[in-house]
Amino acid sequence: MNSTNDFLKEVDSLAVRVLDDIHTPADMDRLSHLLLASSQARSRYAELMIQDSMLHWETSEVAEFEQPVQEAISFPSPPLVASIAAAVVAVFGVWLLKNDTSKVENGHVASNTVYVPATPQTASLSGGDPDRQVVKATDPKATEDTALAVLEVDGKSPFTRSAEARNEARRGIRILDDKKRFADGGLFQFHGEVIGWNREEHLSVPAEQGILPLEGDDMIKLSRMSIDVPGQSAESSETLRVLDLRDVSRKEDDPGLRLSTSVYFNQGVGLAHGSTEFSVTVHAISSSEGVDRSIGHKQSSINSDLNPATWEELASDFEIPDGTDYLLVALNARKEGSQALLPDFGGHYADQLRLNLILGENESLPL
Amino acid sequence: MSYDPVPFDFSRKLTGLQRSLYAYIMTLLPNRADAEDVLQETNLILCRKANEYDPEGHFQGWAFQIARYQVMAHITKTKRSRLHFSTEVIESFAEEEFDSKKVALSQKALQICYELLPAHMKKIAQLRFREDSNLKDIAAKVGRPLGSVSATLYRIRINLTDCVRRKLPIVEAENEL
Repeated sequence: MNSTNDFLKEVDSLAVRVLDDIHTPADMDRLSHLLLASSQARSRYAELMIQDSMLHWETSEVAEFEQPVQEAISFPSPPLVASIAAAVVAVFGVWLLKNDTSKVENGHVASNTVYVPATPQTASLSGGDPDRQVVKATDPKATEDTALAVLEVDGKSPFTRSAEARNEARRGIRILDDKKRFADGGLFQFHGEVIGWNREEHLSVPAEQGILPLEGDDMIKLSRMSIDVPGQSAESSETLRVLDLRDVSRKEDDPGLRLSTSVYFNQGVGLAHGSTEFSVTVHAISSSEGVDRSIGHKQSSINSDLNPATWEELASDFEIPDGTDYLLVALNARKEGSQALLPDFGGHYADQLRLNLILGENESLPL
Repeated sequence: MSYDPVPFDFSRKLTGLQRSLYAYIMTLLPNRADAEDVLQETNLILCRKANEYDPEGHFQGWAFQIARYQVMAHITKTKRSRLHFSTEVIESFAEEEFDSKKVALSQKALQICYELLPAHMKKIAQLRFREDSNLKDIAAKVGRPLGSVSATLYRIRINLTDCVRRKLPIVEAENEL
C-alpha cells in the first residue's frame, strides 16, 4: 500500500513540475517511464491534466463562480483561452445561423450572445426593420455593471458581431447614466458639457511585435480576432469611447452637431499576409426607459498596407441625429479569405484617436 | 482555398467536445500555450474535414486521432522533444479517460471544490490559472519564496483532485435526477 502511494506521489510530483514548467529532461524521462509502466500511473496523470485543463478553461467561471454556467455551450473569457475559442466560436456561429437565420446575419460571429425572439415590445422598438438587432443583456458574461435592459443596434454594425464591444458599450452607458465618476477599466473625461468614458489607456500597450507607437510611448491594441471558419473571416472590435451628450445645449439656429474622427491603424507581421480592413464605427444612441437604441450610425473603413513601419490614417465625419443621448465610438479590424483562418499572432493597433464635436461653423470641442 | 459550410450536427458535436479535446491535448502536451495552439489547429482541421466525417462513426475517436497527429507534428516542429513525451507515451493514453460526460461532471465537481479552497490558496490558484502567471511572478506578487509557492500549488492540485473524487458521486447522482 505504501509503495503504491509512494509510486503515485512520485507521479503527482512529476506531473505538477511539468504543469508548472519547472521540469527537467530527467523529470520527463522518469515520468515517461512511470506512465509506460503502469495504467494506474496514466490514470492518475490524466486526472491531474484534465483538472488543470479545466482550471485553465473555466477559470473565469470557476474563479467568479457566481454566474450560472451556460448549459449547452460555455466559452472561456478572453484573454484566457481566446485563441482556442476562435474556431469554436465560429462553429457556434454556424449553430446559431442554423437555428435562427432570421436573427443573425450570414457569417457573423455572435459568441456569448443570446438573440431574443421578437416580442411585441421589441418588435415595436425595432420598427420591423429586419436589419435591426435587439440584444438583451443576458450574455452569460454580462456582469451587473453591464446589465442594462436592452441595447438595440443596427444589423450591419460590428457591435452586432462582438459581444465584448456591446458589453463595454452597455457598461459605459450605465456608468455615465449612474453619474459615477470612478470605475474600473477606463477614465472619465470632462470636456465642457460632454462627459466621456474613455477606455484608451486600458487598451494601451508599449511598442511590441515590431510596431512602434506613432507618437508617444503607447498605442491601442485591439483584442485577438474571433475567427468565423465557414465565413472565412476574422474580426476584432473594441468600444473605445462612450460620450454623454445629454447636457449639450443646442441653439435654435444650430445647423446640427457633427463628430469628426481621425485615427491611425497598423498591423504586426503574423502568419497571415493579407491586409486588414480597419474601421471606425460611431453609433448615436437614444436612451429611454431602460432601452438604449441606436438611431444612426456610420462605419468608415480603410485597408492597411503590409508595412509595420507605416501607419494609415482614417478620418470620417458623422452627423449626429437629434435625440442622441450617447455616442459610441468603436474600432474594428477585419480580415477575409483563407488568410483570416490563420492564428492571429501579428496584432492590430491604433494610435492618435482624435475626436472633435463640431458645434457650429466656427465652434468645435476636442474630446 | 474554400471550405464547404460545416454541417449542423458536426458543429454541435465539435462544440460539445471542446473541453475533452483540450484536456486530451493538455495530457499529451502539458504546456498551456502549446496546447491552446494545437487545439486551435485541430479545430481548423476538423472544420476543413467536416464533410469527410461519417455521421455514424465515433466522433470523439476521430477528433482525438487528428489531435494526436497535431500534437506529434507540434513536437517535431518545436524541436523540444527532450521536454515532451515520446510517441510511445502519447499513444499509451486511453481516450476513455476523456469521455465528454465524465469531463463535464468533473468540471461541476471542480467548481464546488474550488470554492472550498482556503483564501490564500485561492489567491495563488487565481494567479496561476486565471492570470497564467509563472511561479516567479506569483512569488513576487504574494511576497513568498518560490519553493513555498511551488509547494502550495502542489497542495492545491492534490486537494482539488481528492475533493473532486469525493464530490463526483454526488454530482453524478444529482445529474441523474
